[in-house]
Amino acid sequence: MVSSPDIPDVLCRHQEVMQLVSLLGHPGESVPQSIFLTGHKSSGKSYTLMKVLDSLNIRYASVNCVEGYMPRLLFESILSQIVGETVPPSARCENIMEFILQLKIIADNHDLHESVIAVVLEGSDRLRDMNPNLLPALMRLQELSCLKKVCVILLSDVLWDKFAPSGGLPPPIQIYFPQYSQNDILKILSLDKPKDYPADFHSNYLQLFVAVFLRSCRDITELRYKAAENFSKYCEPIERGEIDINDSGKLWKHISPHLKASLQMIYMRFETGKKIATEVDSGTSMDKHSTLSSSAKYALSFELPYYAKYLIIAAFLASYNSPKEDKKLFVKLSGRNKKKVLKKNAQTKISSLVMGPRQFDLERLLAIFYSIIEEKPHISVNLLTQITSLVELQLLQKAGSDPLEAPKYKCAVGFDFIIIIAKTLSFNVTKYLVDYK
Amino acid sequence: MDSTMSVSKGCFAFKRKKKNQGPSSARFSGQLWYKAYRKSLASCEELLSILENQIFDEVFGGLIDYINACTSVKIHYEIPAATLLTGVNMPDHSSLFATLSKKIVCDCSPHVATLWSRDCSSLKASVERMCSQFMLVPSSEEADDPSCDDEEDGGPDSQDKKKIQRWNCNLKYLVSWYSNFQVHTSPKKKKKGNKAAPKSGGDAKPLIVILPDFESFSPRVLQEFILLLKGYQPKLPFVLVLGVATAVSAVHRSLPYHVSSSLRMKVFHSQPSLAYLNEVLEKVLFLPNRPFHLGGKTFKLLMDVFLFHDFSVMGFIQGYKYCMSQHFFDKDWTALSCLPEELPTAAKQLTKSDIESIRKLPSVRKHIESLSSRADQIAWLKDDNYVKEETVKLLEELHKYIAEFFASLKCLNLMTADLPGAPLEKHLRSVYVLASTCDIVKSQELKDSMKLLSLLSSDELEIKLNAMLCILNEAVENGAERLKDVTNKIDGFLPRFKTLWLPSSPSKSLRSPCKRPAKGVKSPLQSPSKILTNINSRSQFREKLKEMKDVSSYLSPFEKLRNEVLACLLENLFTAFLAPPQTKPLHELLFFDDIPAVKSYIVGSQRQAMLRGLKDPHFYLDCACCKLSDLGDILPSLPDVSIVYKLHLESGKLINMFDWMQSFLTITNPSTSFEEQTEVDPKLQARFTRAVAELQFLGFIKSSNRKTDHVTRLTWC
Repeated sequence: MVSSPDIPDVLCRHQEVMQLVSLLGHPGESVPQSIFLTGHKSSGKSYTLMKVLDSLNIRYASVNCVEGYMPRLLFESILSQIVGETVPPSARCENIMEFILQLKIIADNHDLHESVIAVVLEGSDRLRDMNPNLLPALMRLQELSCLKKVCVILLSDVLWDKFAPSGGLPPPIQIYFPQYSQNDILKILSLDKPKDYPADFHSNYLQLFVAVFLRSCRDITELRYKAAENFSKYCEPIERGEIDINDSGKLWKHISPHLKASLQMIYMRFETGKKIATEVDSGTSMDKHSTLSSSAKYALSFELPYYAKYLIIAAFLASYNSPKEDKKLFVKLSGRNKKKVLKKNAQTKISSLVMGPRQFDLERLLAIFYSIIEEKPHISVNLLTQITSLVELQLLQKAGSDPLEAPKYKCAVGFDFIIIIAKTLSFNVTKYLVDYK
Repeated sequence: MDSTMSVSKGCFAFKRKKKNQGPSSARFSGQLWYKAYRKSLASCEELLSILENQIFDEVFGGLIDYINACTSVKIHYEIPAATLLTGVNMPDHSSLFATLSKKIVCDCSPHVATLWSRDCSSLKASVERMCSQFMLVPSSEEADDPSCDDEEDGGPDSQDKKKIQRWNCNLKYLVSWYSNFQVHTSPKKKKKGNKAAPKSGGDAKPLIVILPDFESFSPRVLQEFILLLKGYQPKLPFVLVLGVATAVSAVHRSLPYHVSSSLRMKVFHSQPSLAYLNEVLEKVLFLPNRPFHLGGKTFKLLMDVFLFHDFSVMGFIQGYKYCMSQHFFDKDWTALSCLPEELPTAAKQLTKSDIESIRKLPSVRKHIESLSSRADQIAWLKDDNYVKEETVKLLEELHKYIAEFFASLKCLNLMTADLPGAPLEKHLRSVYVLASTCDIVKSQELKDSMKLLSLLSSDELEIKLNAMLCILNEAVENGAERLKDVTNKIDGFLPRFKTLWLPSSPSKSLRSPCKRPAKGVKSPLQSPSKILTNINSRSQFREKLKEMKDVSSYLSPFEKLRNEVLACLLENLFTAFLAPPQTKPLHELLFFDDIPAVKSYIVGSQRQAMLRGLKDPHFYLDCACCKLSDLGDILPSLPDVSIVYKLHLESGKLINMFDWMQSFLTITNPSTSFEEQTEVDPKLQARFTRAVAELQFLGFIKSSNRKTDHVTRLTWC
């Protein structure tokens, strides 16, 4: 149908490429107002599109909508890219009207009325949060600017339905990029084959690798990164001459713990030089605290001042006990009542530990703090600033917004964290929790 | 103001005159105590800055290497992010990162921007702030001119610059600026030659963005910011430096995976602040040759603030400096708080009144009373010159004592630090508190630890003695001659350890233990029947058994030696040199232990201050009219809030507003003494209302739902 040399070859995206080419690749015909490319993160949308645009020799401007915290930046960036200059334009372009005007001027100056101009907006879901006129206007750019060959291409990992335009927009032409299948992933990953090793050796490795990783990750860039990272480990024993290159069983035995450890660290990229060391560390420490949850490990990883520890425990108690119980829990000489309450609650309510933290005010926090701590420190500035620094460390959350009203807080750490902290103080938290069984 | 004489009315702008350098310092500069204070402070600050540099160098070394490595290798798509785990001592961070940024400018790249979370509430604000910091960096010509700092209030010129660039503070503009910068500077480098050569790691210097308080950034801004930077990474080589107070997982908790996967992190650890503090103590505070020392109580106060509240070394140092200024302030005789070499000259400058105040010092009085000869006592009280001479002597003595004190304290700490259960505390700082507040030699803790020490093995003892010898020798070199004796004794012990286990001696040493126990066992074995026959009661029997046990307890040569060593240490080192400073005359001159004077400043207590202000406004206002003979008095001249507060103290749980106002009126307006003032002066009423509102704001009362014209009282004394 179309002359073949123009069609770029994008692996596993042949159909989408054909669709794009059929929409944009016919110079004589009209061009759609807007095209909407959707698909999961890193499913090759931008890559495919750029390939197509490049191969069709289309003049285009590509911007990321993260930059649209000021629409001006989007407009100026688009304009300068269309003109093809690298320095920022001298003329200001504050709003969509000026943008359209300047676009026309540029088209006149550069004689662009007859050639296709593509405006690519990546991460276009962010446009929804901006000026409500912006998205409709951009989608009708062709109509508004009277340039017949302008096409706006929106890229997003959100479906068009979720754009929910209130005024109703003409739906753009949608192209959906499905997720890569296992075979696709294998094909793409095998592109990264290192030169020194035979192809089937590498593909063997990839089979093992994908089997481990596919369940938790389909992000192709992340997979590529991880595959390259682990391949060097896979080859280590071969280079050292310990394992034969064809002994896949032994190789699997060697690599599988590495892969598992690497799976734990997915999406966290640490420096490769230190990587080995940290992995060994995490491996040994995992053996040690394998029963601990991640938040418990978090609690162990840093030290808080003495009163700050009590403050965070008090905050936890305030968050997970209802104020009604305070008197029974913290006022001394009321042991009998406490037992009753315990029984009644155990039967009726859902444990508040599962319900998430409640808000509490500063006075209550301090009252609980003073009742659980043995020595009575003065309320000093130093003590109160501890609360602020706990908020800064994100161990407490500030809830009330009114600065004049008494400030309100929420405890942002969980039960495991508190248990660890309390252990360092040899303080029994569970005694003070109404719902703890 | 002649220049404002003008026919027309208008506003006249005057340029502010340049301030003199600190009016306060000018006022004090001539005075004796101020000179002594400056000297002491300067020497302390010098030591601190040396220490600070040394510690920061350790921390930053790896980080800076990493940044330099990032510039040379650029194959990754991710943004390199050096993550510095700083610990939770928040107040120290600003100085830490200020130093870091200076250091980066020196060693890596001139492009450094520091973004604090308080400035970055939105993406726009953060990008603008970042770009302006990059672009306002004085370009290479200006860089040589040290006066060209980009301070907040520079000249009009720099403000003009700012205005232009604020509009252009975005990444697009930054790209073009950066490429220009590269073009401009690269030829210059060649001309400048050696000066620029060490600076340039690669051709393109990275743009370094420091986020010192990572946790307090709003996650949303952070995500967008990182995504934005990532988009420009190919054109602008960014390097992030994240200051994380808690743990690395905090980074992953606040960033979703597609953001966190665009950072390539490398983790660096800074020194824990406790270790830093120990260094400060060892290298600055506990140096013997300082003219100023903290007494045990004050030191404990500062330590408590540190350990219990904030882990902030800066806070500790500030507190220390404050104590120092308090020690010197307005007391000319503190000029004697100086190094021993300077004592005679300092003593010469003292006036009569200074001498008088020295005489009044409690420790001096005690000293005078303890003098044996009457003539000396009279000379102390009458003869100024004699006092001067004696003070100098005593102070020299005191300096020696301090040197010995610290050396023997270190020895004691060395001996007892790793005992099981640490009866005498692990750290030198706690031992110092103990030793300088009470007589440590008589304390139960020392007795306990001596018991434990008598179980030490020979290896351990030998190692400890050797280490102790090092400390003592150093102290002796620094002028603590009296320690020489002990040092020699310990030195004498050491060779005996060697001979204990020498292969040549076993014949003797083996034989003797063989023989002696035989004797020891035999003698009781022979006798029991005899002894037992003499016994009539059970208690007698028990005593006898005890005696036999004592006799039978046999000591090996090592045990003997050990006991000897320990007895010697206790006698000649600890007892001799560890007397608390309070027992020494003139200790007030070198030790500061006036807690009440500094406590309210170091540990601020806002409620106390508020109550004090309300009860006794004179304390803060310092006006003649508010002076109260009794704190319960209410004068009409007091501020309205204070009057209202004092009146409300007299009432019960609910306060009737009308009655309250009546009593307020009788105080403020006593001339019109009607039975009840029905016609109220609106001015007075307004004053009353405002005072009540202020009281409510301070949290003493709140409106009541029970009765309409009443308020509820919230505090009780």
